[in-house]
Amino acid sequence: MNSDISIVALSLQIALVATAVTLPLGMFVAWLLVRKQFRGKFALDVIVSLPLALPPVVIGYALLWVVGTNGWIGQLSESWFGSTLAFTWIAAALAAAIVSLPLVVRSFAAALAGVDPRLEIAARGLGAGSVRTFVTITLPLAYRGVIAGVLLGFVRALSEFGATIVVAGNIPGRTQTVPSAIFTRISSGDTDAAWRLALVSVVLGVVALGVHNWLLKRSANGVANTNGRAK
Amino acid sequence: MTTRRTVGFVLTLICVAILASCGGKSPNESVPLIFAAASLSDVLTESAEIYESDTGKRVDFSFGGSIALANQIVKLGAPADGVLFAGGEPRRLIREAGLESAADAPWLISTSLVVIGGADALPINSLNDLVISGERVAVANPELAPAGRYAMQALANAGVSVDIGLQLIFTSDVRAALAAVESGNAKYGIVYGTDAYSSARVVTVMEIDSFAGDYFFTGIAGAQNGRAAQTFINYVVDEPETREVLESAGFDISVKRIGPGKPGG
Repeated sequence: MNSDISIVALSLQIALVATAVTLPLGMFVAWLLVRKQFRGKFALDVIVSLPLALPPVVIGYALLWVVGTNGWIGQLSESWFGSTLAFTWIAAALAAAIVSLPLVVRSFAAALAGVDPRLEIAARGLGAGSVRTFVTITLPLAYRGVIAGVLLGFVRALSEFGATIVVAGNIPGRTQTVPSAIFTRISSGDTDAAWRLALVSVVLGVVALGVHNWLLKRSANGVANTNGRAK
Repeated sequence: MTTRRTVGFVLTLICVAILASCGGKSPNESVPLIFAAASLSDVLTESAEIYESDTGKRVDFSFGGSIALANQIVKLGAPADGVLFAGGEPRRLIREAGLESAADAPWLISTSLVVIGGADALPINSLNDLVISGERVAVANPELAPAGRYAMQALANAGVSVDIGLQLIFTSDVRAALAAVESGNAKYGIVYGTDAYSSARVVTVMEIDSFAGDYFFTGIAGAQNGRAAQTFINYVVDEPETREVLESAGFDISVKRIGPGKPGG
């Protein structure tokens, strides 16, 4: 039971750090995709969405070659800290971030697309810079969709398994997340303990998706109102 | 403004989580991480509890198929401080990579190889009978775990050919093969005698005499906590209480340390 709590805590920590990476990055990419026209936009979209189409184990393997002994990040961290990031919880957080990024970007893009561009143009016309416009006009109007995207990315990060086990291993107390602990318990025939954590996953997933759907529903109403007013 | 407050709240939460995780994880620095064969998981976990209550020092483990774990260390740079592996292949990998600790000679302990069945399984006389039974047989994947290699060699030595995939089920490590028999998903399994010993839900239906599984214990040369790992390993093999854990699980620890070297403490 005690170890259950520490496994869940480590999973939450990894998912939160992954979310801290995907939130700003996803926001920037979504803003580029929705509001900007530029060369390579199509390529950016494909690259960011690729984790949706790849087996997570491939993501993990690719990441391992970047953060492991042979990768440039791995060699950098080896010379700075004396060890690579491979098989640490940071690697698990990176894997979770990469795998959840497409969902976050898509949610953010939908939320940003729901904001009437004319409101932003009006703000710019009144002298606000692009950052100020984004923070004071776009973000407040899109915030429910944004939080919904954060939640979706967070639960995806929590449930990440394939990439994580390749790049971070399955080390109890260090890199063992809820899914990898369930895998170990199934493999070793510890069925009661496996069910316990499976139940935890279901509860976390239901709560997060419930809030996500509720926010999206409200944000759809909110956007409709704004558009009504704008007209 | 509720909007900004909500966004601010989410951001604050994330920042706090990051700060907390940066501060909270440093104790790991001095805790040795030991990569160990899945077949040792329960005896080592129990030994580590004894070790911690006796010395106040903690050890962390990563359990799995020995070959898979050895490859993680040698090819992928996994941060192991010590290893307790089964079989010759992982040992060769560690030794050839120059990672075998030179300060202390490694230990060897051993176990046997057996055929197990579910609680209601009938005894069998030979591996040929096992194949003729037509029932599914769980073995560890020979590419990941030495137990699987031994099992395949035993089958080959007995001159029987088994349909891999149809009759033979490969699992990620030997404990997963045991679990497959425990759950009834395989009627039989080929595992270490000590695995069979650890479970009340399977019976040993046949001993395979020609095979003894060797375990190879060593600290990893040059690892940050290599000495601490070796101290734990020596403790496990030297202390009467942890020796008792190993012996009562069916491991033969009369086998000595390889080469010269006085047991440390």
